[in-house]
Amino acid sequence: MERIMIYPYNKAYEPYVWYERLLGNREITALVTPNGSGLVGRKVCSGRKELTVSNDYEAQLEQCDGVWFVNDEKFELSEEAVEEKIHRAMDLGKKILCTRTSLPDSGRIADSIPPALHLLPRETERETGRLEADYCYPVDTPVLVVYGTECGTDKLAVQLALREALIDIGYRVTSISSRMDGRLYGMHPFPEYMLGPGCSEGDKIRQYNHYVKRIELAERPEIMIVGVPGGVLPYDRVDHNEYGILAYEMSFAVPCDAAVMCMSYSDGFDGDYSAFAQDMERIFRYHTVGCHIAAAVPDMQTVLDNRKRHLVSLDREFVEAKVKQYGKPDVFHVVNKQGARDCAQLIVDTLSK
Amino acid sequence: MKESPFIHLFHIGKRFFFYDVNRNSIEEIPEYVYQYLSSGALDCIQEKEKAEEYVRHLQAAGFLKSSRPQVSEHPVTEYYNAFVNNNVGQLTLQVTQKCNLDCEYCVYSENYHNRHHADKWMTFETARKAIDYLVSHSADAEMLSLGFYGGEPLLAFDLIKECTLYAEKVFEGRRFLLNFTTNGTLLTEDKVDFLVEHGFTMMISLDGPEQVQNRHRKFANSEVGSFKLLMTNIENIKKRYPVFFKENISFNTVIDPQYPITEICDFALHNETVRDSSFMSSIVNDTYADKKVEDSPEFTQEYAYEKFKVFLMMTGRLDKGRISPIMRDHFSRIKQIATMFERYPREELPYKGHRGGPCIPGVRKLFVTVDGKFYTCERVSEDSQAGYIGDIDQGVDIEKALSILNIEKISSKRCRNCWAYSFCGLCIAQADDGEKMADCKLCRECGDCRAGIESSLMDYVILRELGYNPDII
Repeated sequence: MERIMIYPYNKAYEPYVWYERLLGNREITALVTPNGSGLVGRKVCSGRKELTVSNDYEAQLEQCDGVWFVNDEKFELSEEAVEEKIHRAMDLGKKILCTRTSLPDSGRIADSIPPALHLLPRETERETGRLEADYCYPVDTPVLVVYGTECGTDKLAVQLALREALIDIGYRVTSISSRMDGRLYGMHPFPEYMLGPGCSEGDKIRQYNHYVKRIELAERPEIMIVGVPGGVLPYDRVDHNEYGILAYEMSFAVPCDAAVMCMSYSDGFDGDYSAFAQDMERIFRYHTVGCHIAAAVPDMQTVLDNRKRHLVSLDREFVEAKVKQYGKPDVFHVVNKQGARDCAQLIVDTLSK
Repeated sequence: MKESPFIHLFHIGKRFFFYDVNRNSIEEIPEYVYQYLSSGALDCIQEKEKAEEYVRHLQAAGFLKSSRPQVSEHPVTEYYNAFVNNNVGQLTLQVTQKCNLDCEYCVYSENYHNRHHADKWMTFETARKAIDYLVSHSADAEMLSLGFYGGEPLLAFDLIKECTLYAEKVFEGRRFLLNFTTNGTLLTEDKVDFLVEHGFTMMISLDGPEQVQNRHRKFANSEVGSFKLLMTNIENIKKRYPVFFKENISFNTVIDPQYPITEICDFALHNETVRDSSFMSSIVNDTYADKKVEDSPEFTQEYAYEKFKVFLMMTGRLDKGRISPIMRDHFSRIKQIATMFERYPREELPYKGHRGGPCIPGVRKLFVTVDGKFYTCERVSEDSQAGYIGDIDQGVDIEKALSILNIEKISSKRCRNCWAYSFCGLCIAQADDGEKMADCKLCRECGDCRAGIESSLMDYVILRELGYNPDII
């Protein structure tokens, strides 16, 4: 087993630790984070073991075979400092896995890494292939869409959990992630051209469709899980979630057979998500069959300050208890095994009808 | 018995409105409907029928509900632990209780009973623990803010330096702010060099022209005012570091309403050194004062005129450059109200809830005293147990913090029936009787608080009609 360190570890990578078992012949053995992250000393459970988040890059480097350099949103690390850490790892002969998109010149870094070491290709470079036709192909495989009402609602964890649960039931599952860094976990990355100004909105729809179709033809899955990045509808003028444009485009590219909604916990919610689900049906033709409640709650003070919503992490046990309290067969906390199994079964039942 | 609609009626001249507490919105109504809603009776039968018809339409549109919250509980209560463990973003260190000035309206002065100047200093060990506490409880906070407070914090400059270097190390990878409020008299060149190098933001207390500043802000044990020295220091900073002066320094003006305000406004508008700076201004805070501060007639008149000019600015009718910097952000409550209306739409008040007012204690503005005690913020009394919520060794006392968060429980029946429920700004500082949270203390503030909110609602209605856009102005 190859021992991998994640740097700079942050909460967006927690799901990858939880589902480490999907990593194949690699295992995550160290999580290193900057001093100021607030995560130093925290425990993260992979299912196989418990890891303690560290701030000691040098010490952890010695203990691993490779370093996975990842993106971060909350931190303000200088890219030069990250580059220095990459070179330090190379000097010690460690493998470099790099899905960090903000490095100033990743080409230069790639060139400087000896071929003996392994650099994970920039996830998105493979996916910018030219358009074969100026229309969308039909997608024949049942498509399960995982979407979130906003960022930070566990979409990645839900995609991983459902994939695992559906495989356990016996299905051949292909995942196209809502993020660009899932290849290590056997997920197809979200293509970068969907986020950039490089092609027209129409071309994005067609290109994404062709991307999905190519995957379908190559892998012949029985279920495809498609993750939608970000949030899908504007909350209001300030929290606009990019107006749901991406979800709208994706809904044209890949028709949805069933969808799972991911939302944050909120006060007063009683398990009835039907109003939002109806909007999703009407706008995107997403037929929502289940709802995952994330272990996160909005800090409403930030809304009052006229800024964007931001979520605060909750204890998972708290959310699990709430979900139990709702007593709804289609509301889950998917990030526990039972929740994932129940949700997967509901999806199978829906798709089988 | 059926409860009456949960609304507040008000009028501006000959125009009539109601604020619907359940819908959190303001609606204009004809006078006869206003009369009907306020007394239930109208002399003319036809008008009464018309009013009843109008009311039925409002009810059909979801207005005039009588729902009140039935259970007083702050929504954060059930997951407070998560907030206190993950979302602490602001910490203020009281580096010393000593000050080189002796301002009459300072909360440390003998006219106040929430704290007193003393020759007490924070140790680095205490500061280090507090900074570590901030980092380890901030994983979800958007950014970190470390503030230095006094007394006069610059008296403890060596400690500030030590804390800065330590914070920069342990905040690695995070966006953070270092800031403090100072009387500015100790801003020597070497200190300023350090503050500039480390990107501090500073708020300097400046009350106005010489006679105003020196009226209250005098050196300790002396009758000498601080104006001259302060202005010399400010001018030096501006000369040596113009960009830093513009971007990192703002001023705080405490307005004493016993005196005229125009001279203060004019000073900030015309003084060459500060006229392009940002000002925050507030009226003398008498929360813990021995006596209430009364407005003089001159002040009332001049304040109204300044307010009028600000409203002209807010509606695009007067250039910002003609408004004193002191007044530009003075009416931020109206912006808050606009935000509340826009971003908190609702059909009905929740069954369980809490009025506005309290910040989340231990999360929003954690204040650490020289000896490492936690208080909800720098505004509460250190002489009282009411605002005390733990210390750097034991962390936040959850039970205590929750009781402060749920301050409505001491007055729930009154609060649940108060139309100002959502806009209330009363917190522990106003409820502190010197030992504990006391409703008898709090209820004395309710009238003023409601009057202030009503006045702001009226201002908001007029400004909105005249094109006020809180995002642009």
